[in-house]
Amino acid sequence: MTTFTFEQALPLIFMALMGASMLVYVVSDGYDLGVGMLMHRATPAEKDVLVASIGPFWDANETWLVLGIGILLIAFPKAHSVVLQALYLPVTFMLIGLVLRGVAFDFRVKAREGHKATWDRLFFAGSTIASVAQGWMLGRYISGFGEGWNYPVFAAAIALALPMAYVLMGCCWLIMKTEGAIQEKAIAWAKLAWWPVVAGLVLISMATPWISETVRNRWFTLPAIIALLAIPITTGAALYAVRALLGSRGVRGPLCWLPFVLMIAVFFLGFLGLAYSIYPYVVIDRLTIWEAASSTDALKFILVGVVICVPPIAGYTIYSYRVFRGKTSELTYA
Amino acid sequence: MGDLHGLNTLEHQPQKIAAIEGIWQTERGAALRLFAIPDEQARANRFEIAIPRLGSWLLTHDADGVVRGLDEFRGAHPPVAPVFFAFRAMVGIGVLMLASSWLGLWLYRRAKWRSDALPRMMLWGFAAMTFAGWVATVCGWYVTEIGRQPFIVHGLIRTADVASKVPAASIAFTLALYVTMYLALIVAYIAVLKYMAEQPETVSADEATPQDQQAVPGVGSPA
Repeated sequence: MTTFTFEQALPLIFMALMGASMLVYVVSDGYDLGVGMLMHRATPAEKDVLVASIGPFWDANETWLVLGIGILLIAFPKAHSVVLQALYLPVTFMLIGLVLRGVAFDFRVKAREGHKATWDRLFFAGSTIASVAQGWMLGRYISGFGEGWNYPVFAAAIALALPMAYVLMGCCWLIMKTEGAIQEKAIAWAKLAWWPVVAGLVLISMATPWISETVRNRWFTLPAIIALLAIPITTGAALYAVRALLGSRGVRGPLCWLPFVLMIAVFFLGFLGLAYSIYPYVVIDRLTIWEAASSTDALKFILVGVVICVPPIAGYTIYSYRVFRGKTSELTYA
Repeated sequence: MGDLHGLNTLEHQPQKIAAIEGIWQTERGAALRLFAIPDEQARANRFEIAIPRLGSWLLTHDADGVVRGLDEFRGAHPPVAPVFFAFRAMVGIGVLMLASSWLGLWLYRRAKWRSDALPRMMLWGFAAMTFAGWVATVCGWYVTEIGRQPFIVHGLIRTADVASKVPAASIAFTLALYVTMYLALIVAYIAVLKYMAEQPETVSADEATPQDQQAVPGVGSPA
């Protein structure tokens, strides 16, 4: 690999930042969307615990989506234009889902008792709509917004698989944050969600090279593939470990955090695989990182802002997870 | 603040000021139009009620100052009526809000600070003003966004040149979706607000009980 000057590396820095924000978003909002999609399986009392477990975090989690899209807009305006025009409708559905869920989150306890069930259903619906829309967008993005019968099928498969992965993530979150009967339920839900997630991941890993020649060429060349095999093998091992833990005694006690951490690893590996597949493109086969980037002067200027903004965001995120660590207490609204 | 903002706009976006003030031809000693119906075809105002020279005095701090009219910006000024009316609605509501707060204070004092002795008419008036600040803010946005047209970056880029290629049908569909959702949400919002206002004890009791348990170390509770 050639060495870059600072000017040439600037777009890469922003790509890394954008990727990191998106990864943090998917992992963090992933578990709370997943918890939202579990609402219909819980009793009314359990619903309060589910909501309480994500209460201090869920809206801060969405900050990372705003940051990621913000970086896309200011650092890669051409890619922003292509991506958000192509994804106009699913973005709208995602926003409507997120709005519904945000309103339902507050109103379920503020509205009169008789309406609580309706708001709970809207919380479930909003979480599901947003997750499915995100899956569809991911599918369309990976396939480079291709036209033809196979592309929508591919996107639809991811639109189902990503919410399933969120659900599993949500289950693991609840295993970590709850105790007793609810924790048992979360373990049972996780067992249910595990198979579809594994199946979805395998299918998508096979379908992605089939749908995109670029991805196929990047993965299936000889010395590379041996090193790259580490990604699917580690992912498989992590998922297997999650399943094994679900049947163990430890997960009900001191190891309650481990499935969640393993799921973060699964998402991270998936992200790594995706990044490798797409690089050096920001819109696959159409725009490279350098073609889509803003001018060097603009990027330098933005970098100053990023250096000022991102550490506090990371800081308060870590702080809030520290303050609200441990098992969830009763539901309260300030 | 308002004065500084107006002067800044006059310098950088004179056609917005001209639309706000309903000034079609460049005038020396321009009047302040309190009401009018701007007529885009005739390029003039109908049913105008105006205070002579006050417009120039406010904008240039000189009663004989020159204010450039819309005719100098033919083809590059915003539609006049929405900007003209939105500005008046904004200012009108602002004055109404100020007036009602001062009136409220005066009546409250006269009632010897007993809320049950306040005239019911006034309470109804206040209830009617609930969303006044919100309406005024939205009107202000209309002034600033419509007032910048036909540009998206004033003087540099026209809105029509940079509009996305998303099909009009998609835009119409999503607009309908957003409007429907927000209408439903505002109905829900008002209903919840009304419920909370009518039953303050129930709501605060619900919220107060678990507060006491918050001080358990290492245990979280949502904000």
